[in-house]
Amino acid sequence: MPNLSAPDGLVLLICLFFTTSMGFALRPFVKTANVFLLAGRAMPAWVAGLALIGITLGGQELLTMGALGAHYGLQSAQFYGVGAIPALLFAGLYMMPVYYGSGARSTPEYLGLRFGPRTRTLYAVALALSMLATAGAALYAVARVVEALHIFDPLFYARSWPTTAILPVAIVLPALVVLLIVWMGGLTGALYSQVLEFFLIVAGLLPAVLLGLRHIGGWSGLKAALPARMQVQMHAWQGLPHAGPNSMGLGPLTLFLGLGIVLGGSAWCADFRFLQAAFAVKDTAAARRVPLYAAAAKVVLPLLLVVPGLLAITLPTPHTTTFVHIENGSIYHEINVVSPAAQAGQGVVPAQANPATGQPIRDAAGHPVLDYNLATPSLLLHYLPSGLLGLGLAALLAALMSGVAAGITAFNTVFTCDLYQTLVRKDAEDAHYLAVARWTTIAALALAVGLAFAASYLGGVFGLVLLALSFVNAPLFATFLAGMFSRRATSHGAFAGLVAGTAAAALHYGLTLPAGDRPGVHGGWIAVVHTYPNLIVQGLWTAIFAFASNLLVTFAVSLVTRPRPVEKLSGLVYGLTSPAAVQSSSWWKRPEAFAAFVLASAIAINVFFF
Amino acid sequence: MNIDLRIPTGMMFTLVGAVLMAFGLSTRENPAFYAQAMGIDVNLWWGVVLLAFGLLLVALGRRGQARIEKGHGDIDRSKPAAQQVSRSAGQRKSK
Repeated sequence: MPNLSAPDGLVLLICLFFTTSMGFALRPFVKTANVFLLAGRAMPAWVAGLALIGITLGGQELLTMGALGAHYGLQSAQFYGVGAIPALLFAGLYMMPVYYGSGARSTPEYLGLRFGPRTRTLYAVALALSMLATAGAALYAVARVVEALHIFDPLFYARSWPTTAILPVAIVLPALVVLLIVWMGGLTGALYSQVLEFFLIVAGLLPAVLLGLRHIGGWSGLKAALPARMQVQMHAWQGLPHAGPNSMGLGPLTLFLGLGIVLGGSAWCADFRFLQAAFAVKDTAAARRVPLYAAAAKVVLPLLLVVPGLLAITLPTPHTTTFVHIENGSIYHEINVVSPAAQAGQGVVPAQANPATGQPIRDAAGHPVLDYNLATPSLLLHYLPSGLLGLGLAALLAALMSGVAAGITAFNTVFTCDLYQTLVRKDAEDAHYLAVARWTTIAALALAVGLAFAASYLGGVFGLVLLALSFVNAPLFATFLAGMFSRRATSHGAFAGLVAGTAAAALHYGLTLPAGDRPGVHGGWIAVVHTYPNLIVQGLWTAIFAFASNLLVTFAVSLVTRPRPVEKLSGLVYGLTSPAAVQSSSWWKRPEAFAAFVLASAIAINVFFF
Repeated sequence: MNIDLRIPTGMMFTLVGAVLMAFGLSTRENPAFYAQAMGIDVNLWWGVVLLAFGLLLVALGRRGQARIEKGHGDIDRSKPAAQQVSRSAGQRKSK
């Protein structure tokens, strides 16, 4: 359906040019490993904050939140808010001073300073793998969107290239763009392009959302138009306890414990993919503000992320139509052909198409399986006319690429600082590490491209991300909490806890299964002891079990091992850091006041809308 | 870093806004083109918004860039470094 016109192409090219130019423009400044990997620790807080938002919008989030909106209704907005805002505020207020004050260049390096090289290496390896997995998944998501929207089709038909080559090309091309930006500009290039991408996402999505809301009659019109199964979910908090195939099945306990504390904490307080933005600023005060800015943005972003999904599901489903009209005495037949997969969909969300036949895929009950990840892209196609469509597509691609870039730059830092420099060559010249970091970029992208091809066999993109997060990250937040807030936690305790937490995650995953799934990729390899309503709930409980096991084992082992003397913990534990040199005198300028304001507005919006 | 990010961002939106505006003006007489968008010439209007936003960013960025360059000049004139830091921090807050 979308025939990209010349203005669309022009807009896309302008956006692409400026995004890649971030690499070229910064090339002359990137002369040391420190600048390449840490942006020279000179990033202004607002740039790092916007970049952090760009990263979080990147990769899957934009597609996923639209998908969740279309699937589960407004509950997804909570999924988004509860999962991020408390954790980001916590990170900004209490964790950044320790991270930044310790002088660590990455989150594994902090663990190394606090708990010794063993824990650091274990975590660095796990983290590096998870970075690659998320970068690969993000690349695959880009390619899927490009393929589903038929962006390259006209080009391929014109040159009579085989259309089977579209997916590989769509995986490799964005990878090359990211390679250019990161190879030339390092972390600065990546962060700068992520800020640009953040603005692009807002500029591209906002007109479609505004048009959609106007079309449907505003907020009340949207409420009235939602399918009946979602009406209860419009009151998102009331819909909570109703577990079932059509609701997310998140009880309040699962929601707060799993999402708010464990997954939110592991993502926003420990995941280096996000925190690298906060590590790149000039001082502790700036580092604290970065997550707070991101939290503020998260209060309003559901408008751009979840509402498109809601709108997409309420629109009339397209059908093949023949429109006859008479003009100057001649009769015109305009046939608007809609693919069978789109006709089987709901709203403008198409069904998943069988790649061989183009027919919709149906589940056991004969219902078409909807491709929810295409909810937001389909909405853009529906409302944006030629011209703005180019901007909308640029926004989608920008979002997806910023996720890839974040995974790659984080991998660079973790590999170079935490693996290469500690395990392979300790005291080389700076130029050597710069070269290592640069070549790591290429290797990492090559691996990510390989993973993107593999990702097509691993079910939903979201499942993959949650899986990686829950195995690697969920137990980890407990380690960071123990390290930062307890003087008693010991090196042996942390290591044992981390191993136990990861084992608990794998065990839990092996013993449970989401409803309606066969044992396999989605769990149940060992035996099926418990069935969860869906993959999301299963992932959350995996994370909760991993977190709890880690915390218990860490403290059990710590109590029987000898703690480090307090003077050796200086700068590594909360309360033992040197107080911030200049604390702003007026209370409203303090980060605590800003955080309270963000929290209050988040609660106010929840009360007002839901 | 020696580039104020607002300049390239602003330039991008100025260009995109100009292209959208021009395209919106040229398709203004064609209501069928905007049938999806309820007859609103969204290219024109959103183009104007982006153009204004882009120009604003460029203007702010130029001031910022001038400040970066001036700041470096000050350091060369060997003022005490501590004063430099506190001054630039003060300027940041006043923005």
